[in-house]
Amino acid sequence: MKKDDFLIKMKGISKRFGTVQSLKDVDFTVGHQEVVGLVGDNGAGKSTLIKILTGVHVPDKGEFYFEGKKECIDSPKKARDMGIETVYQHLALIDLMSIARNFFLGREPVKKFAKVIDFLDSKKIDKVAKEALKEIGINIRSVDEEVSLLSGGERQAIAIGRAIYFGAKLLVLDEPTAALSIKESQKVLDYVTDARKRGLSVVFITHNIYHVYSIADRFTILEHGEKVGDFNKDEVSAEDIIKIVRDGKARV
Amino acid sequence: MKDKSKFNSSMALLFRTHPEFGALVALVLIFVVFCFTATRFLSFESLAGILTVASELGIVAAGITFLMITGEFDLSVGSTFGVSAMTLAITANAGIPLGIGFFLALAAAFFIGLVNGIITVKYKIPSFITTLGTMMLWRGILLAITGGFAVRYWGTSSFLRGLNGHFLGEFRTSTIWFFVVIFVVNTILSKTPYGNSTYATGGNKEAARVLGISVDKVKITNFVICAMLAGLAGCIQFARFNSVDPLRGTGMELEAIAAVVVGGTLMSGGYGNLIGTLFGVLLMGMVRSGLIMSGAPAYWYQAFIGIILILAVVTNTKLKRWALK
Amino acid sequence: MKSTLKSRIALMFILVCLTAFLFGAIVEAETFNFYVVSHGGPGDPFWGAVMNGTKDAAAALTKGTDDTVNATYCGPAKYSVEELVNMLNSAIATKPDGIAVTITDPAALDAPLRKAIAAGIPVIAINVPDPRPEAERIPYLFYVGGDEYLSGVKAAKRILEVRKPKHAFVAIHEIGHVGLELRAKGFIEVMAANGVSAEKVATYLDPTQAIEILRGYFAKHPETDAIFTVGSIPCDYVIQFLKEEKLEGKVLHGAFDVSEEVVHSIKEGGTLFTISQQQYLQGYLPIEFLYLLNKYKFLPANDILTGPGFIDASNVKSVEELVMQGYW
Repeated sequence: MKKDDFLIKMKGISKRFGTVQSLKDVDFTVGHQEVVGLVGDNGAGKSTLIKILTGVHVPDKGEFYFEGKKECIDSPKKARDMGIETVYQHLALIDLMSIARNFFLGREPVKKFAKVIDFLDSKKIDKVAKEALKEIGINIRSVDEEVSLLSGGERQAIAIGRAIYFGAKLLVLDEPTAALSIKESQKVLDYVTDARKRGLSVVFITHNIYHVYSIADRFTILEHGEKVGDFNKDEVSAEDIIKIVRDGKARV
Repeated sequence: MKDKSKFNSSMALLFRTHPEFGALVALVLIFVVFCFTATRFLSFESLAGILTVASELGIVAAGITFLMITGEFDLSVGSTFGVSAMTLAITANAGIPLGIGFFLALAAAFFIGLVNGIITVKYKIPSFITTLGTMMLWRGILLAITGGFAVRYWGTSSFLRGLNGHFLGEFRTSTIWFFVVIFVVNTILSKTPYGNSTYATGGNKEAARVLGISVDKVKITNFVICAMLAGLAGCIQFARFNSVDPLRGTGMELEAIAAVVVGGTLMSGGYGNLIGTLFGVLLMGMVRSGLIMSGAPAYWYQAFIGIILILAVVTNTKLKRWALK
Repeated sequence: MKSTLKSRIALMFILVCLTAFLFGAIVEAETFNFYVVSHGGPGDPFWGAVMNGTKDAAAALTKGTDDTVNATYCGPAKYSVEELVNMLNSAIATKPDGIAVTITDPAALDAPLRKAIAAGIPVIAINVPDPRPEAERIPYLFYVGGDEYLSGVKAAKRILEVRKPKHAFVAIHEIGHVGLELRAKGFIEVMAANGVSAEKVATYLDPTQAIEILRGYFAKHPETDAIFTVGSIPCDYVIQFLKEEKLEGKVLHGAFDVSEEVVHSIKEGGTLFTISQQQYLQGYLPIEFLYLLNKYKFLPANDILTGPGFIDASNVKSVEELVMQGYW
């Protein structure tokens, strides 16, 4: 069931890198409180599409609408300010920094010293980080610990928790379950479902069709920079999607 | 049994969150050794001497620490040190008020840092290479301008005394400036949002970028800060020597980097703090002084320093690895 | 009762013996700690001779008297005024019985040395004196070393004795070093007074870089036919350069300081002469004088000039062996 008011509407997006046409005239929409699986083989353009969505790249051609209004996202900060949060595979958290610092990176709560200089409100940072994560069901021993000590699943959880805390409207996950154990993958999927319950929409990129099938509402399939399929969950089965990605044929 | 493992894990947490602890351990050990081998090591003169050397090196090392945490190197600090010192010396001899000369010296350092930062960031050249080039460039210009001659200042001035005069007998005000710099830079690093951005930029540049940090601005700013601190140190040393030769500061970059690394800051960026650098710099000063006061044969001087350095870093790394388990 | 008296007497006896022994030891055999601090050290063969002088003097005194003389030599591997000053401060902090130091940078050394002298530490200047007039200069006891200006003057005169060059230059390897600059000054002034164009050329410490600089210079000034090198490091690479360019004999080479290379070159005729400061004495004599000063209060009345001495074709054979042993 396609609603008329979308959270995100991207029309006719094209992007070229040197001689490679990464994306060609791609339409992509995400509704409210919707989990969309963005799938396709390597080189399909999935990463490029979400990098445009989150402000890392600027498209050569195309329009972008956020909550019905035309926007132009030219920096990651702008995307974040609009409520689009990304959880990249390796770029979600800074390994050598503590959990608390990672949580508030770029949006640190401050106390003003002598009315001029910003000082980190460390008490608030530690307290809020611990509570916010607990709220989502993530129990951390000490938010002062380095992120590098956490497992992959825990890291994803923190990144998702961070997005939820800062009131993201759209959560973009880039291969969140790759390199995770089965138990941890399931945990991440649970967090995604939880996020949707709290009112967020999610774009979920993955190679693991089964993972995304269990929690998604819709699927968008890309191949060689073009969109070759856009289906609701009740229109396809997981095997159908796998077939399309593998064989490159679109079912009418 | 339970108490021991509890103690172990709290010690481990201490080492994990405070990388400078290893450096402190090394510092204390070496101090104890020199107390036995060096004549009059514990005298005021000796300790003041160590602090004097450590303060000048330390201000440079503070800048290097800050920049290293950002994920970049500055090999030109020795040349910046010399350029600033020479600027102050030349303007002083020309009769220009020392306050203005000092400002000009820092402005020169600002410029050098800015160039370093812009070239590294805009042209995506590894900072190691950029600053290797600027190191040679500014040193060459220094030699050309002075024709190789030292510049000596025979006047006295309260400004210079403020920079590096004596107080409390043997001690020098440079020690005060050193501690001020350490305090200020460390506060910025650990207690401000900008410090957080610095750690992030050094820890994972791309992640920081996608999280909205203007990584380029952070890097360029920190290049400037590093250079200006080196310039400040150069002026402070000039105040002590009352002379500058165009070779002043040569080799300082490696000593500063060594002190920083001994202090626990990672060369790969994103990790470290100024307290470790403080210990590292005190270690360097102590080793140099202690070896002389122990009557170490001149031929072995460099070798001894190298061995101690390696031992200090290895101890640091081993402790960290143990703490992570 | 009796036993306590006995033990008391025994104790007294032991104490008296101990005191006598110790007192005797103090009066008879003393230990003296001296420091030699300079701006050069390991790696430069010139300073190797100074270090040998220091070591030999300390050993000779220790062996020849009841006293122990410890002499520590401190010098940075690479020319550095900062290290000189820092090393000096460390040495002074041990309150030694005497210091011999090169006054490479009078402004930088002024304050620390005046303080040391005021604290009663005997200070002898070696190798480079404080050029200021007696009333202003650092009040060290006396100077042991060469006369730099005179050396340059004599070097120029020696070359002019052979023939009047068309163009001469001084290859200087440590810019700003007061001593080297004075040698160059003496040389250039005499040359100029005799109508020969002469100038200073900076060639630094690295041989590869230096040879490039020399090549460039000769390309621009092909009429150059006299070179004066003011140290052993530039001497060696100039000798190598002249060999490579087959200019030996055509370009008169006068050198300063002694090394195996220059001795060889003098024997072969590529180098006319080399001036020696006899720097072994700059390491040896201060230790002797500091010992004599501390022990018997003897103090020489004037500076002691250890140079310029000349090694040329007339005496090179007798000096050769000593060079290899590190005395010259």
